[in-house]
Amino acid sequence: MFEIGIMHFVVLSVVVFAAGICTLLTKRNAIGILIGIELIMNAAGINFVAYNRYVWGGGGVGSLIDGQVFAIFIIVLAAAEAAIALAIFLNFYNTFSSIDVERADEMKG
Amino acid sequence: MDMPSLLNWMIFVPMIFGGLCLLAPSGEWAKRSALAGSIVTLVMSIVLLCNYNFDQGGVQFESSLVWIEAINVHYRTGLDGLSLPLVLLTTALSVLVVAAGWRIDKAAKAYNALYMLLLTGMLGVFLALDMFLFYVFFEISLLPMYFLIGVWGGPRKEYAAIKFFLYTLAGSICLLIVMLGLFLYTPNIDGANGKHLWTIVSSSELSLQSAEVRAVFGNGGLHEVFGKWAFWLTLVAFLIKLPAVPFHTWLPDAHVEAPTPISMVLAGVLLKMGGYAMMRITWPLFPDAAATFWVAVATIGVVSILYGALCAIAQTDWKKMVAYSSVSHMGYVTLGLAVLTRTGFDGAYFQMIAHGITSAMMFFLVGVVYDRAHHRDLNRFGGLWLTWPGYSGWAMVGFFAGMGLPGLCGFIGEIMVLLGTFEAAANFEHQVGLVYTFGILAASGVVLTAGYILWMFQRVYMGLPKPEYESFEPVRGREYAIMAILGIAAFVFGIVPVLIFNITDSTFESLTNMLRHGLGVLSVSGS
Amino acid sequence: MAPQQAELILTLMGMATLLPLASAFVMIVLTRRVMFKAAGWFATAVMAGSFVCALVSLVTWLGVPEADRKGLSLLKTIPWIPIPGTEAGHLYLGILVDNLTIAMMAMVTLISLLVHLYSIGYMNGDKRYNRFFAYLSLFTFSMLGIVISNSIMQLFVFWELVGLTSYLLIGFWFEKRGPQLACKKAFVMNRIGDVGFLVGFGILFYQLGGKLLLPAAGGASGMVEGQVVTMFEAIKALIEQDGHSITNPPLWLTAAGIGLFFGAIGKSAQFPLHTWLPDAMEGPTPVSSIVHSATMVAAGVYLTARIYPILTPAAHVFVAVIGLITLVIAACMALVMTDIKRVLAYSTISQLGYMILGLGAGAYAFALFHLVTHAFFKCCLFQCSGSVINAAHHEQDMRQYGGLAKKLPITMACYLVCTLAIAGASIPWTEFGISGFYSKDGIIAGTVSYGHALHDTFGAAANLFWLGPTVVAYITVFYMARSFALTFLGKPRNQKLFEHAHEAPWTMCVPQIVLAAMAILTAPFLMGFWQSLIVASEPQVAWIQGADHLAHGHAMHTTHVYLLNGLAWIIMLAAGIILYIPGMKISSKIAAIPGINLLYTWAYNKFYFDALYDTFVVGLGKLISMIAAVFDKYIVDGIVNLFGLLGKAAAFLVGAFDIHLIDGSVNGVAAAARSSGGLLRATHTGRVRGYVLMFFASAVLIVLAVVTTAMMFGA
Repeated sequence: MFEIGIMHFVVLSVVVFAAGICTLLTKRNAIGILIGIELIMNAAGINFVAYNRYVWGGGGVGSLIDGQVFAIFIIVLAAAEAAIALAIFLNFYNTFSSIDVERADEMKG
Repeated sequence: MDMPSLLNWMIFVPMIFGGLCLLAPSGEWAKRSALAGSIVTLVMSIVLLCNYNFDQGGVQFESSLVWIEAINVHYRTGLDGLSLPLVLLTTALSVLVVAAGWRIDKAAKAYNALYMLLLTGMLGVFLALDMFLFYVFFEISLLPMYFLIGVWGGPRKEYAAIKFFLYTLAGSICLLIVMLGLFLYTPNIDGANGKHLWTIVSSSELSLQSAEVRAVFGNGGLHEVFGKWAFWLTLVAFLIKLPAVPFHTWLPDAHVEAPTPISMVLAGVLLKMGGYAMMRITWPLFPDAAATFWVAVATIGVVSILYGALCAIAQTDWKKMVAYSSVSHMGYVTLGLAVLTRTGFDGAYFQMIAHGITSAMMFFLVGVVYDRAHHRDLNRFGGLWLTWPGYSGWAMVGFFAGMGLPGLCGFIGEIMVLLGTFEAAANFEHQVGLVYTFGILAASGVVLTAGYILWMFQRVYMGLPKPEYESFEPVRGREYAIMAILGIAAFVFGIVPVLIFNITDSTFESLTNMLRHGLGVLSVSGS
Repeated sequence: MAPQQAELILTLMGMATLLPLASAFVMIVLTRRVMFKAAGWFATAVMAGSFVCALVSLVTWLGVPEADRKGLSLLKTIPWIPIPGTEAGHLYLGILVDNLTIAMMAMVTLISLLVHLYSIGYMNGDKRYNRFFAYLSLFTFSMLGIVISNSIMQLFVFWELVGLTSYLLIGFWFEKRGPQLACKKAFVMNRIGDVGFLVGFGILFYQLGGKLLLPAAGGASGMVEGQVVTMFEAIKALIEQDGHSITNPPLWLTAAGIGLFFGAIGKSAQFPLHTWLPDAMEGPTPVSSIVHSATMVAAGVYLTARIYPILTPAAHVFVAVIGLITLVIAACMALVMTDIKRVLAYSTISQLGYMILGLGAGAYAFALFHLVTHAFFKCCLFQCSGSVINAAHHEQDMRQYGGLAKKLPITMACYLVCTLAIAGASIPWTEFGISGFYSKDGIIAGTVSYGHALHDTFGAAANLFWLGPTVVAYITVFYMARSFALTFLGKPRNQKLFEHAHEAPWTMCVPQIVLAAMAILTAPFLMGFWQSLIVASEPQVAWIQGADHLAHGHAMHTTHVYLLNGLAWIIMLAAGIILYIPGMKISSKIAAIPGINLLYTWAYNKFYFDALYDTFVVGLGKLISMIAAVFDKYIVDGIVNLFGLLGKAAAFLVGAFDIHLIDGSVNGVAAAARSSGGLLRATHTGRVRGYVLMFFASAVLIVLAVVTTAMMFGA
């Protein structure tokens, strides 16, 4: 019988991560980049949860849930980050009348 | 107040008044403060004179404090026959110098404060009995002078000031080398008593110490070579200050650029530090070298006399002429010391006092005219005798005193040095011809002196009055007072020279006794 | 002599000397506001007091029998400069009174008094009238100081003061260029002589241990305080100790004598330092009459007389030769001068030459007697010339005069008397004449003996010693007759000048008359009196009297001299007057004769001494001083400045080193950081995607590297 194992989660995580990276690399829209970052973080979250299950076993009382805790932190972090990023983008928009990150090159060396 | 502390107060009282000058509400008050300071100092020095015991050869009113224990440096001061007349000259001249500077209004506070600092330095030099302390005061007197020339001077003041400073500093370095040498080579001289060679500046122990010193630095001593080098190094240090040819070129520049009162004090007192230090340090410490090298030193003296006078003849700048006359007159000091006779020593010393009076007067006389004419070109003057008969009368006294006319103070020093030179034939029996040659050459200086003084007198005072000088404002009472005081002093010391010799006699007795030891070495090696 | 008398004389001598000083001081201090008009009479009155002092002491002195006076010295010493290094202990000032002092004192105070009186008239109207009398009194003080000098030291002190006052008096009219140059020249030339004086002074000082008191040994008594060893005693002791004697003297003694005599050469205007005296005529005439004829220039003779005992035979020859040369050349120049005062000036030099020659030749008494007689007649001659100049509105050229006898009879008479006196007028071949006859012929007699004595040494040349003065005696009469004729006789050559001429006021005439009277009276009538002083003053130093050649010097008039000089004054006086009554007409023709014209030109140009000195002494002196000044400015100071420059250059090098190497390396680190930063700057594009790519690629590469490494080494 086909059983879902750790490898599947890893593959999923890699796919999500790759999608995130690709989004970062291709998108010029700041919102898009934000989404890409969300994807990358979620990929990391998947990995945390998956490896926690794989290392410590099923979820009975007393089992360790460090991975899950980290995943929750990541979600909270992502939310905070999204809030800050959106605030930046808002200012960005006010300045450049656009959210095209290509234009934000004034601090280049 | 006991005398030693009065003496120490005297050194530093001018400095206190100098501080008051800076705090004064206005320039006028600064001048008054400086005048008060110099008068207080003068009074103190007169009190010291009154309490001085003329018959006692050694140092009086001595005080000593440990200053830097590690190298045995003391703060040690005192008075003897060698320093007392010069101290009196300094304090008396100081009052006149402040009065002469009454019209200097440019930064009057700083000017008077610096002058007061200078006064402290000068008195310190004459009163210090520790070589280290002496060196410190020697340097202290340099700095105010540098600023006084450099700030209040004429068109080339910066050049003159820096030249004066560096030149004298070069001399100081020679002195410093000797001090280091003395420190290194004589650790054991009376070390147990807490004394040290640096206290040798005291003449009270001159004869006592000379034996010890000669054992180290004299001919055949442990450090004979150093002794000879040290003689020359100290000599150069003090010849620069004196100044003697060829170390004299700072003097004309400094004098020409310095304001009148500073020229007065420079010629009147600062040059005397050189002669004083030779008598105080060079000759007593290295009598053997002095006897060995007498020909060279006497040559420097004679050359200074003649060369200074020749240069004076050729000058068209009045002040420069007077400056070169100083070189010529100070040559007699060098010669008088070189020949190692008592008469020569007395003459050299008297010449310093006399020159202190006459040169100050001559510079002041030039200054009075310069203040009005704003130039010093001898060829452009004329007829001042008719324009200002009163001033010219005093000018006659001043310049003829410089010329060494009998009855005025310049004469005594010159004639005694000349006689002392001839007398030296007894000291140097194998070189009598040389002695007479020095005597004849020095005597011929009187012709050159008459030449430049009389030529100047003709060009400036004689002739018909020139219209451009007739509108001169008349000579002020203050100026008359300064001329009169100096002029009367020139008469008094010229007519009653014992006023000085009474003070110096007992001190010079021990000094010359010690030099005789040096000569003893010479005759032993000569026979 | 009783102590009270001695005390009195010393006090009076001191007073006589100090009174003129006091009056000069008063006049200078009170200035012109208080004392202008009164100055003349005030100074004259004080001078009269001084003369009375001298007179009283003279009378007191003469009260002592001559035998007692001979060799008697009264000495007052005041320690002046202590010289503890020597045997003497002090240099002294003070008073020395002996026969010579008394004679000189009387002479100088009398002449000074008369000149003061004369000046009241002559200087009337001068704007520095008061100042003139101050200087004149100051001069008298200095001169009297020389007269009473008790030591070489005091002699030198007053010697210099006389030089100063002479300077002030010659340069009295300093507005004009002539007096300016003349007074400077006089002082400087005197100082050249003083160098010799100083050298002689120095040698004696050393040899004698400072014992320089002048009283001649053998008679120093009276007021000598303490045990004072005089100079002559010291010398005697010294040379005997060394085994010397006067015939075999030590070299230093000759040198010292000649050295001191150099002072006399300067002051008495002897060859070669004579050129200042004619120029000194630029001063007011009263000055010429006292300073440059009677007293100051006589100071050199006086000095020579004072040091007479220490002059060795060689020094005597030197003195005599100088005197001989001087008297000859000065007489030649006096022949051709046209300025009345210059004629008298050269005449003075010539007469001083007689005195010096006389002293050199050993005719001590006659030389000093000539000093006294000359003082009177020459002072009178100068005063007469002053009266003439005054009358002629300051015209001094004799070619402009002529016939003034009518206008100035008193002056003419005085001038004539004095001309006869200087000519040595006498009744031929007898012993009767007026003053110059006795003194000058006495000197010539002395030179005759001296010439004989030196015949062995110098051969025929020794005859010059008497031939010179004899010939010059003739010349003297001639030039004096010339000046007399040109001035007073003949027809007026300048009518305007003649008409305005007038006799001088009585203040000027009286001194002239008194002096003329003295010129007659001094000899023969007062001769005994003067001789009792001067002959008695001849030094009584035992060792010097042993000398052979000097014994002849005491010879009195000899027939020899009578024969030579008896008619001289008549012949030459007549010749001079006849030749010059028509003015210069005849003489200019004579002067044009080839051969003579050459001599004339030479003499007229003063033998080119002035030109020579101007070129070689003054010019060279100035040149040397210029060279010295340039040397000083560019070489000596140049070296100093070079050191300064070297210091600066070194500082510059060090500065460059510091900036480029030391600071350079510090800055280099910063620059390296900067440039490497610049390299990396290119990667900072500001593009987010670029950063992401790089970040990702780097992460991959690091992982790969870690994995690869682990696989390669870890497995």
